[in-house]
Amino acid sequence: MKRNSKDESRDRIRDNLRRVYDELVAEPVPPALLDLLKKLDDRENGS
Amino acid sequence: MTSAAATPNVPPAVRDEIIGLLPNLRAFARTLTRNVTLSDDLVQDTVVKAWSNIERFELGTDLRAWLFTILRNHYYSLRRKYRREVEDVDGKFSNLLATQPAQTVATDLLDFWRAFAKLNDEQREALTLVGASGFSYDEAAAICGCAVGTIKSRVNRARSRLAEQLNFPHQGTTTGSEADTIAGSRANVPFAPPR
Repeated sequence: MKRNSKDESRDRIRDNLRRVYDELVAEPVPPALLDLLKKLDDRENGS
Repeated sequence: MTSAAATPNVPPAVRDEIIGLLPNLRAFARTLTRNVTLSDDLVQDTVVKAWSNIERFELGTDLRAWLFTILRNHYYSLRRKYRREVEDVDGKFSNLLATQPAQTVATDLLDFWRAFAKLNDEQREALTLVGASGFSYDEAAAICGCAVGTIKSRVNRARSRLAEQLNFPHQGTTTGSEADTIAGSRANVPFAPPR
């Protein structure tokens, strides 16, 4: 099927969105967030 | 941050899954707030809320959707609260959200990011949930508490606005079924959050 400009626009938006999102997902999780989970664990365990 | 005075037992498997989903929660929060600091605060609050209300989570159901819903609802709650408290007459909160770029977005994506950041909240979240986070339209509608058709409409409008702002070739309007494709849904792609 012949592709038109709308297809091209759609593909570019999809690709850009995924690249942005994937880059955000790939960022390292800040230690503070992991520390928070440890604190919640400790509180749960009464330590 | 939200208080976590009483924390019921969180099953280890759920705890590990929450940890595995942190990168995705941060990414979703970033697309909502467009601000690094605010997005991390939002994720922290989400984790504490989830931890404190873990008894409301049904084992075997979609933890990711549950966490995304908590995060999304908390974001809108904070926005309403901030607007009510300071009236945000100068749009300072909105400007703060809109002006800080993503830290790690590649240079060639900055134009896209800036255009994306100008979309309204509903359009950004719909496009992100369906087009990037891997949720189906049904799941996105459940997370946002709206009809499936509303999600499709928001995705369609978001795509049209992006095409206009980025000067992408763009002709006419799009039907609901086309919006499925436009969003580039990942719903059928097995989701594997980074561990």
